[in-house]
Parts: sequence; C-alpha cells; structure tokens
Amino acid sequence: MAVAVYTSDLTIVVDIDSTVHTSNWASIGGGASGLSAEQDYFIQSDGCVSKNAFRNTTRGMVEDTTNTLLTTGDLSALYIWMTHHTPASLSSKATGGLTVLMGSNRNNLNRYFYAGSDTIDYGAPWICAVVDPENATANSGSIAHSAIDTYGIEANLIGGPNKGSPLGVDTMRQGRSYDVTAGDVATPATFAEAAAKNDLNANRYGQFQSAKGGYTMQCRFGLGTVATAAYFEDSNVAIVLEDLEFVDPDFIEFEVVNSGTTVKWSNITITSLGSLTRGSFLVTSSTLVEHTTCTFIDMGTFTYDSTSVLTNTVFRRCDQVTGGVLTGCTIEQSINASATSYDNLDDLINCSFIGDSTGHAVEMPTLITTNTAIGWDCTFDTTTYATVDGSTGNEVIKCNVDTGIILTINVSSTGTTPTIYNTGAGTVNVVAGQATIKIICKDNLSKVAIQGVGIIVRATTEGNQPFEDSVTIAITVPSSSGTATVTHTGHTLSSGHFIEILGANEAAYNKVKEITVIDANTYTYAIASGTTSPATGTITATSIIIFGNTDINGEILDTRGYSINQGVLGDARKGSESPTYISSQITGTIDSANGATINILMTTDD
Amino acid sequence: MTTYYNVPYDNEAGGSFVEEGAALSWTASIGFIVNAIPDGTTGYLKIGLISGNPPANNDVLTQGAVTADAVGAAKLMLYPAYFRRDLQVPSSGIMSWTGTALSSTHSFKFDAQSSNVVTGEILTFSGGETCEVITIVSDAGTSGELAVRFISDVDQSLPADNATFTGDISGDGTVDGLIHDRAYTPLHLHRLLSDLNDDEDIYGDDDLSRLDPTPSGKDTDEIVRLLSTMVIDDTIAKHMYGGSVSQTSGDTLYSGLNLQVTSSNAATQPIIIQNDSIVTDYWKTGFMPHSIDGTVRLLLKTRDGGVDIDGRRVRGALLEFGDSYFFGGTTIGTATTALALFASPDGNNATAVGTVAGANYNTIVETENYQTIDFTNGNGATPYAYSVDFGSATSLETYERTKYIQRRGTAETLFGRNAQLFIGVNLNFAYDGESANLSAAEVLVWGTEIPYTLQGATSFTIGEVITFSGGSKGRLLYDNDSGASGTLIVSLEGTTPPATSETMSAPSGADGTVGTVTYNATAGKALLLGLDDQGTTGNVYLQNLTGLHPVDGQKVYGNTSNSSIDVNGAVSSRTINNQYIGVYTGTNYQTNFGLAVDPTDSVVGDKFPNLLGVSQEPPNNQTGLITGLKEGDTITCYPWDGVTTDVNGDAEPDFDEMAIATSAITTASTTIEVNSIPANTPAAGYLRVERDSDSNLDLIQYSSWTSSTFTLVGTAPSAAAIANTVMRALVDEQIPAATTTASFSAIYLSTDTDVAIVVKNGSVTNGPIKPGPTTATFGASGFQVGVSRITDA
Repeated sequence: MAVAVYTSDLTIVVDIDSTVHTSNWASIGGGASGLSAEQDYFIQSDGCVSKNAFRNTTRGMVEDTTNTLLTTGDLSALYIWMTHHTPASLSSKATGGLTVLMGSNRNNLNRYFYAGSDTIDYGAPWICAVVDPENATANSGSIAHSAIDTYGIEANLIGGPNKGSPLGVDTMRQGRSYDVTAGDVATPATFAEAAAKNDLNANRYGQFQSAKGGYTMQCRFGLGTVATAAYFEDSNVAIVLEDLEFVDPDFIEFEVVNSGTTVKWSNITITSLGSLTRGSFLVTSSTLVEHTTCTFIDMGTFTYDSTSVLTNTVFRRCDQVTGGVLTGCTIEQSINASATSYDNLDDLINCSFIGDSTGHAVEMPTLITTNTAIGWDCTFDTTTYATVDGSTGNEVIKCNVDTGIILTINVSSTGTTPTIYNTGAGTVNVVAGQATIKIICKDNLSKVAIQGVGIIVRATTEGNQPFEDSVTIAITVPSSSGTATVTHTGHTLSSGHFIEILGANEAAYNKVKEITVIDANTYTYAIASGTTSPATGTITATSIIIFGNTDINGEILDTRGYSINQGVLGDARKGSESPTYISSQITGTIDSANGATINILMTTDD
Repeated sequence: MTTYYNVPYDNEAGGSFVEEGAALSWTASIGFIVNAIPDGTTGYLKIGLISGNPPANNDVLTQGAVTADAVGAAKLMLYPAYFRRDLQVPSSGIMSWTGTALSSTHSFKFDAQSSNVVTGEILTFSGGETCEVITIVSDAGTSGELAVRFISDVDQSLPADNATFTGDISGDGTVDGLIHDRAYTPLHLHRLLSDLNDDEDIYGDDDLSRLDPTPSGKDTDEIVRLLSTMVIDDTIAKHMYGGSVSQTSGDTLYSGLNLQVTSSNAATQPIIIQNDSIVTDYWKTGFMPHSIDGTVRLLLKTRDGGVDIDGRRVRGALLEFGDSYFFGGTTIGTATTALALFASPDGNNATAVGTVAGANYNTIVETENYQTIDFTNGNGATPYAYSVDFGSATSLETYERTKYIQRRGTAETLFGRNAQLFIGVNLNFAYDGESANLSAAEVLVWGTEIPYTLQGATSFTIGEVITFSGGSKGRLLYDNDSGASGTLIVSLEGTTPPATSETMSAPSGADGTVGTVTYNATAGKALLLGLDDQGTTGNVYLQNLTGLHPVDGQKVYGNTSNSSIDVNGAVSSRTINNQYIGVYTGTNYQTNFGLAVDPTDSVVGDKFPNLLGVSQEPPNNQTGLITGLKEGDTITCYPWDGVTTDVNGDAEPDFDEMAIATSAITTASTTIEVNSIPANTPAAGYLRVERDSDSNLDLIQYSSWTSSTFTLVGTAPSAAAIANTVMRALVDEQIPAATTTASFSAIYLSTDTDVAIVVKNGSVTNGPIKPGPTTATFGASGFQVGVSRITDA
C-alpha cells in the first residue's frame, strides 16, 4: 500500500459558486429581486446564493433543476449547506426556523424543519443539513422522492435584521459514504487526515469534519473498500456523531471492508448525540481490527468478526455487541435486550457487565445440541442483573439448550457466578469455584502475542486430575459406531475435556481425545470404526487440561474445578509455519482458588 | 523450486481427495495434492502450486468430482511436501526412509511420451536442464513418473510444467506438473519433525504428534540436533545434503560435505575416502549440485558411538583417466564444509582406457617395497620403495599405465591395496627397539596402549568403539589378542585414559579389564612401503592412512607381524604429487618421494628422489668425436682454458690443469694423486704427467679414478714430484688403418670443458699435412668436430 486515500461519494446536485448559481433560482415567499450571487461569504468554493434581509415573515429560495437526480433504494441523502446570520431571530426548529425545501417545483415543496433559534449554536454557523426524502418524513408536503427536482431553503423570522443578505445557501450534493483506502504501517490512515481532506475549501463535504476537541461525523465512514484495503491506525481522538432526523436510522456507520484491511484504534472515544442515528460499527471483512481502551457512548450495534480484538474497551448505553474477542471490556446499560451475543463464552475474557435491569448480559443465540463445557470468567453488577435463574429477562446469560443436553458453565475464580435464562428444555449446570489456567505465548524479543501455538498441558501427579489412572476401554456396540467407552472410576472430568489414553496394544486407542461424559465412572470418545475391541494392554488415562492452539492474543485457557492445587506439565510448539518458534516447556501449578497464568516467552526458530 | 502449501479445508463433498492424483483446482489456480489428511469432511491438503495463487479462505477446491472449501489462507510449508511421504517418523527411535531410490534427487510425472526412457538415461529438458533417470516409478504408456538425479545446478532452474525432454538413448516426454525435491536438508528434517510435532494427532505412517517430546532443535539453519531418542539412519542420511545432523546426545554426527569440483570433464565423479576406505559412490557426477555451494552435497557420518571417525578427517579425490589426478583433504564437523577438488586434461594421458588396459601397456613390471637402485651416476645404489620397469612399453605408455592403475574404479592394487587408496611415501621416521621384524606392506598402528585381561569369549572388533567403565571411550585400531589377555591400541576420545582395573565393553560383546595404560595423544595408521631394517633399528617409509603422526618415543605396532618398534627422533612428512608415479613431462619422469624408474629405462633428465631425500638422476654419458682423420694421423685433444694461445696463436693445452699431490715413484706408483680431478673426466683414459727428469710429459694410461686419484694401468713410468703438472689426454693417439675418427667419452656434469685439438701427419701415409689445430667444447651433448687436413707436400 501507500499513502492513505480519502474519497467521498458525494455528487453534485446543485453546484453553487461565483460563476454557477442563479440560472433557475426562484424566491419563496417573495423578494425575488433580493436573490444574489453572493461572493462576500460562502462555505464552499467562492460563492453562494443569498437573499436580502427580511423580517417577521417566511421566505426562501429554490432552484428548479428540472432533473430528478436523487437516487433511490439506498441510504444516500442530500447534503445542503445553509446559514442565517442572525439565528436568534429565527423561529424555533418546530416552527420551521431554518427549513430545507425539496419538491417538484417552487409551488410543490416538502418542508424539513431542520433547525431554529432553539437549536443553532451561537455564531450563526453554516449548517450542513442532511436529508433523505426517501427514508424520512417531511414536516409538510408529500412530494414523492422520485419526483423531486427542486431544492432550496427558507427561513421563518421573528423580527430579524433589515439590512444585508443574511440567508445563504451553498453547494448541494448527494451521497453517504466517506471511504478510506490504502495506507500502511509507516503511513497509516488517520482521522485527522480524513477531516483535513473533508475540510478543504474545494470539498467541504460536511461528512467528517474537524470540530473543537475532535471531529463531527454524519456519514458512512468506510475503512477500506471492496476493491482496496486500508491500513488505519489512530489514537486519542474524540468523535461526535450527529443526530440526524431526516435520514435512515442506520445512516451513520463505521464499516470495515476488505480482508486486507487493518484497523487499530487506541483511546478513541465516539459519542452519539442522540438516538436517531446512533451510528454502528460493522466488520464485514478484515485482516485485523483492534480496539484498545476505546469508549463508545450511546452508539448502535457493534458487529465484529474473528479478526477483531477488543481490549479494555467500554460500551456505554450502546446496542448489542457481537463477534471478536473481548478482554477486560465493560458493557454497561446496553439498550439491547441482550448486551452481547456470543455462542462461545471464552470470547469474553474478564469482561464486566453493568445492566439497566431490563436485559441480559450475554445471549448464546444458537441452539446447543451437544453436551458442552464452557468457561466463564466475567463479572457483572448484581444490582442490575437477576441474582437467581429464571425468565425475568435480566438474567446474566440467556441460552437455548436442547432437550437432554447439558451445558456446563465453569465459573473461574475471577468470575462472578452468572444467572441463567434457559429457553430450551435442556440442562445448564453452572459450576462455581472454578479455576482458570491461562497460557500466554509471546515472542521473547518483541513481546508480541503469538497466535497458533500448539499447546498441550497435562496433569501431573500433583493434584486430583487423573494421572495415568488405570482404565478399561471397549468399543460401543456396534463396532461401527466409532465410539470407544472408557471405564474410568471417579474420573471427575466433564464433557469437552480431553484425556490422553496410553498403553493400549491397539494403537488406535492411544490418543488424546475430547470426551463425552456418561457418568461419574464412564465417558466416551470417537475412534476409528472397526478397531479391535476391547482394548488390551496396561491402559492408562491422564487428564489433558489444555489441548489446542493459542488465539490472536497468544492465549488459550481452561476453566474447571480443582479441590486442591494441580500441577501441570506441557509444551508450547509452533513449527509448522513461519514464524516458527523453538518448543517451550510449560510447567506450573494451578492454584485451586486463583488458577494460574503462565507466560511463555518463545524464541524464534526461523 | 516448487512451493508447497498446507491447505485446511472443510465441507468435503463428492468423495475424498486423492493423493498424487488429478490436478486440484481453485480460483484461477492449479495444484498437486501430495498429502491428503482427512478427518471426516474436514482435513488438510499438502499441495504443490503449479500455477496461480495459493488457496484463499473459502476458495472452492476441486479435484474431479470432489470439492471442499478452503479454511483460511493456505500456509506456506517450510519443507518439501514429499518429505512427509519419504520418511516414516516414529514417536521415538529410528526413522525410516520410504522414498525414492538411492541417488535420486527429484521426481516428476510426465506425459506425451512417444518413446520410453530407460534407467541411466540422461535427459535434457527444453530449458536446458539435465538429469539422469534413476528409477522409472511408473509407466502407463504415454505417461508415468520418474525418479531422477539432477545433473544441472538445481539452484539455477528446474524444468517447468510442460517442459519437454529428450534422452540420450531414445526416451522423450513432457513434464506433467511439478518437479519435486526428493533430497532434503537437515533444516527440512527439523521443519518436518516440528510440523508433525505440532499435529494434534498422528497421520499416515508417522507416529509423531503434539503428544510427543520435542524431536529436534537447530543451532543454525545448517546445524540440526535430533533430540530425545529420535535418530536417522545411514540410508536417510544418503538422501540428505546441506547441513549436519547430530543425534543420541551428540554421539552420532552426520556432517555436511560440499565437494566443489572444478573440471572441464563433465563425467568427473569425485571419490571420497574416509578412515582409509572409499565411501560407496551414490552421487556420481553430482548430487543436488549448486552453482556456488558445490557439485556434490551430501551428509557423511563422522562420529558414532561418541567417538569421531578418524578425527572427522575426510579426503576427496579426482581420478578420472585422461585428467590430472587430485587429492584434497579436510576435517569436517557441524554445518557444511567445502572441499575443493581440481582437475584438468592430462596431455600425456590421451589414450583410450581400453587400449591402456592391454599390451604393450600391461607389460610394465612394478617392484614394491624397500630396494636399492644404482643409476651408475657415481652415487652407487640408493634406497627406494617402488620402481617400475617399462617392459616392452614406451616411457609414455608406462606413464599412462600408472594412470590406469590408479584411475577411478580401478581393481588394480598397489602394496596389496586398491590403487585408488595409494598415495605414496608421505611419512617416515627412524626407529629402534624393534621387538621382531616387521612385515612388508603391513599396516602400522599407534595410539593409546591398553593392556587387558579377563577378556571373555568374544574378541574385540577393529573399528568398534570401546567404552570404559570410567566413562572414557576410544575407537579400536589394533588388538594383539592373546586370548583372555592382550593389548589394544585405541584412538582415545578426549585426553582422559581409562584407569587400571576399569572394565571395558564394546558393541561386539567383547569385554575385559584394563591394565596399566600408556596414554598417547596421537593415534593412527600407516601403510609400510619401505622398511630399512638394520637389526633392532632402522627406518620406515610409510603412507599415512589415518590419524595424527606418532611422536618420538611412541611405540608403533605391526598389524600383521604383531611386532613393535619405537619412534626414534623426529617424524618427517613428505609432500608428494597427486599421481602416485609423480610428474611426467612427456620425456622425463620426476617421481614422487622414494619411487623410481628402473635404470634400464631411465633417461637423462629423469629425477628420482630416493628414500634419503636425495634426487638421483641417470648419468649423462657424452662423447667428444673428432672426424675426418686418416691412417697415420696423430690426433691430440687436450683440455683448454678457453683463453691461452701459443706463439702461433693456436689454442694452448691446459698443461697445468692438475698438479701432483703425492710424488709418483718410477715403476712403483700405481696411482697418480692430484689436487682435484675436473668434471667430465672419462672413467678411463690417459694423462699427461710432467716428469722430473726433463719436465717433459709422460703419457700414462689410467683405468679408473675416484675423487683425486687416478688408478694407473701398470705403474708410473717416471718420477714426478709434488706440484708437477698433470693434464687429461682426452685423445692422444695415432690413427690406425681403416679408421677415420677418434673420440673420448665421459659423464657430462654440468660444466662445459673447452678442448684444443691438433691433427698432424708428417709421414708418407696420408701425409705430409700441415698441423691442423681446432677447438671444441665438451658440453651436455658432447661435441663432434671435423679436422682440417691440408697437404704439406
């Protein structure tokens, strides 16, 4: 990639500057002679259209383009710059203080009451009004979207100046998106550059512009396009999302597009000014999305994907969050009935939930049809979530466990025991007093997390996990079932745990396998059909506490109950693909109350 | 270089993927499945990329009716995918080679064949690459698969898909897909093992997975250590190159050796000699040849049982008949070691080898072992270790025959050993303390001496590693086995010898108890080429075979005779030419140390360094010939100083050429002793000696001379006092009937001798003539001069 590129999709509807402006302009409410090709003030380029001062009446101006330029079937809107120099003399917004006009001609107009003396800031700034007649209802008028070819503004004055030309209108454009592409690690795309491009006199898109203390946004902000990826990295930025009345509620959005796109945000604060267009965050495709210590306030939904990593990020009064891996995040007072949506609770690591007494912290949306064990190490506010299982709607976890199926939720020592709303007929066992062992693999020089490290952690003789316990194994009848049944007295394991079988004369039995628990002394695992049964030899079983690969954070963990401290011994390997690392041994002890975190600093083997 | 990718997939449908089957396709790309590792409808494919890009996430993989979805982006494999098929990896213990035949470096599929190739055929591809067919893996009419050994540099290019090839016999075809590496580096081995060690479960014939201990580590990309009990065997090592592999905690080491052969002869096959043996050749003219790293790149076992094999020394040789011969040595260890070998056409060795195998070439007679040879050059008989008689062959034919004897692949022997192993005398020392006579051409051995007792029923095996209970180890070079007791000579690893009473054991099962050890830091073997036995003392002339030279005082054992000698004084090493006979100029031989041509075949200009280090040359017998004479002429030819003339301006003989050193007594003295006898003096002839009585010059015949004494024929005719002049009368005679020439012969020795010649005749027989003076120079070619006979009638 190269230097970042910022592109607006706005297209001109009515071009207004010093040379192109008054051909079809007509006055509204009289005062036709007062229309001027204004060059003393403007917001974009070098001119605008102004109207001489008028008092105690409603007047304006429109241009009948005779072309129905507005697109249909999308969320695009008309961006129109307008101003009045004495906003205090305008009537209120509700009475059409400053109004956007759209219609089929000067006599058939829709009126969109956009601002008034009660909404406009001091200083009579230019306002970039955004109106989508297709997806919004006008305060008056019902000209069909498809028939609109006339655009303008008008002002309703109470008193007002009697000199000058205080009412002005500037360039009108149509569109929605402001896209960022290209950029690289050395020259990433940033919000500052995006605003600078927007704010150029020749542009003045009104989509993402600088403001005191940050930026204001009223568009779809594309991070990458289908055709071109982006590398966007920024930190310590505050953004305000406009609350737009006359567009679709989903008009404002951040969208990450293209599998090559990387987005890294740190200390980014985004605040929606209202509930009309909250602004959402959607990852359609990406290489990596990182949100670290970001804060999102009053926003809409956040939809991440498997490449998304969120750390210590706050979602305050936002809509539902789903996807990605959240570590140390806070989700408070979500406006959704379920603050988050995750089938795998392991994607929520040490997160905190503060409710509003009306919704769940987590919804597991998919019907659970197999016995599943899963960890939980998050905390929640017990004053805003139900403290007993039930169906009040504010239980911590909502799930749907199928008939006859057991969902086991192992609560780590750092987590708070969740309450459950199970909409299915199956069983949910919440096992408290669990301890979590977490393996974290990092490069010993860069300290960067290593994803894809193969981890095996065995129980040792220290503890009560099975260690070389004598077992017997037979194939479940019929032999074609592909299921081996292990008789393992007092195994203490749960479905989803792994066991290592050794010592069978028949090699097919000697595996590390994920088990399904039948009862306290029996479990099964999958085996090649046709394997000789029963197994012979001196067969032993040892608990494999972790068996898998580290995630994008270089982490893998397991949560289960331990009555006493448990010793572990294992290996961390990554030799299949570059970067490769020298295998490292894992040793340690899981504290039965507090678990264990084992950091592995791995040395490159490339 | 073919690139391979690991492609996870799911949603397999329409059957199962087939390894080495039809092409795999996905978005605008084609690949070849080397390994399919299914797990239900999911799994992994190890593929080679033929064209396009590696599979991306969700690409649909299609092989015939079988489809699946790629899961995530394909990952570049860090080793050639076929290694996984070619090696059977256990969870611990010995890995097994299951791949292509020895010597093959690559394999590929072909099609569009109109004429079959045959094993050994050399294929040339449309891109210019060349290879030898090692195995025809399959041949189904117009298509099949070949295992080959690439002859062209593998780093330059390998044939691409659809490249055509033709053989040097009749075969042809077109490459169908990829050229696959079938020889691997230690780094590839490490990557393969690491990959398997990453796997959650075992697949195929491999039994290594994440459950098992770490199988390998690497210090550098060329230095790999096998851990735990994981080991490769010699067979696997022969399919590897480009680094070293150590295993069993360093007790075994396979070292990387890169032979860099420089020769204009494309058929050159380097020879590797290790521990006095020729390593069996599987590399031929090249093994994974690389334009920079070397023509032959391989792994050689240099340590086993915790003891280095001959100190990891190795020699390379080029012995291509028709080229100059070359030996080079180095010590190899971890990583790779380069050994440069050079050869060029030998202009004196242009005859076809088949011709040299027969007559007259095969009539030469070689005499081996200690001998003395007199070249009648005045130095008497001096010692040599080898001589060759031309028989009915010419000088050049003899030279080519010696090249034939030593050539690569020869079955000829020298000193009882294959002649490829023969170098010549490169080591000698004086000895004393001989216990009994050594045997000719036996191997001498030295090292740490370990007397032993309590040996069981099994005897030790030469070459095996002996482990002592105290922890020391050594490789057995010699065992003077007297049953339960005896003496071992070992090359000890390290510097700590076993202590008395330690027990010892060996892989053969032999055992014993150590006696009083004599530790020697140097150990090795040498071949006895020349034995100068002077009783209990003498000199030995050797070819060093292994190890480091013995030192003064060290005991050396005869491997056959079981006799021993003690090194007495310094050990001398000799630098000799790579061709055992030495240098041949086309006319003359300049033999190696201690070798000679039989005197009957030697010619002037030959140089034969004897075992004393003195070069002997055949004598230069030359003649001074005077022509144009007639019966009755008196002809004299005396030495001349080249300057002095007489009153007539003619050259004046050098009358005072010599001076009497011891008075001659009339009729009593049988010798004439002078101050110094000049060079170029005939072995027998005449002198002119100033007599006391009238100072005239007696003409006295001598039969021989040495140093400063002439031995006379008879006695001195007159008394001659000390300081009287003496001059050689080289010619001083009257010409008899039917004779037209006069001459003398002498050994020409480096400096010329000017002579004054006068012919006279005042008789009626062919006279009178005017005296005819002339001069000549007795040089390296003697001289021939005609006289001027002008009548004086």
